[in-house]
Amino acid sequence: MTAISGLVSPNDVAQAAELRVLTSVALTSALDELAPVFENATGNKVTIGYSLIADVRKRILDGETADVIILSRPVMDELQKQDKFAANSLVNVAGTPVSVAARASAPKPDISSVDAFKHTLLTAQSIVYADPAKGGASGVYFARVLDRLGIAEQMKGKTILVPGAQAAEVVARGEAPVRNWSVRCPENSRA
Amino acid sequence: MTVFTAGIGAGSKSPEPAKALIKFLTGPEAASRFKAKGFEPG
Repeated sequence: MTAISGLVSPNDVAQAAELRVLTSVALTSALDELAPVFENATGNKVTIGYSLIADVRKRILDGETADVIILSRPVMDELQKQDKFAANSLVNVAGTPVSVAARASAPKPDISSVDAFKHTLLTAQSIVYADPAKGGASGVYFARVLDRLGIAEQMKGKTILVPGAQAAEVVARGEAPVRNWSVRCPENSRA
Repeated sequence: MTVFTAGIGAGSKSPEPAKALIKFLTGPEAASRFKAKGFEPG
């Protein structure tokens, strides 16, 4: 067992445990890297179940539980009201901005202002983002952005919705025309 | 910005290790790794 300086002391963990974590797919890249570090430091085993926030929320409301649950703040606050967590255990872990990506061969999208961003979207041949109906955080957020920009209807004809966090992969694979914009969370930055 | 929040499940049989995991995820080592992945820590 290796102690992580200033983070986890032997007193924090009396004996090894098997921890089950339920969380959003948005955190996959970070938690897949962090979990082994924690395991090596404490001897505990961490098993992480990833899914869309809406799916995890429903499962928790339906009675599923886990040792640690990590979801977006509004959903966690809602679940807290249903007494789904230990008292006073909610802590913010990380925030993720919603980003715009284009294929490597396409010009860098101009998002320097609201007007520039709106123009970029309106002149793109197509865009791809997570289907908000599936409950992914970036998809729900971006659908609201289109509404606020007043271009939701105009964008419908050239929008590709993906079920999860595959937006960047769709652009990278070239399954959409070259001048594509992918709206995505930063963990999918391979486009 | 979507803020992700951790909580200990009400039915957890390992609340102390769960607390230690959350402490780790909000600590400096996790912060640097979150940043490297494009997240804003805490």
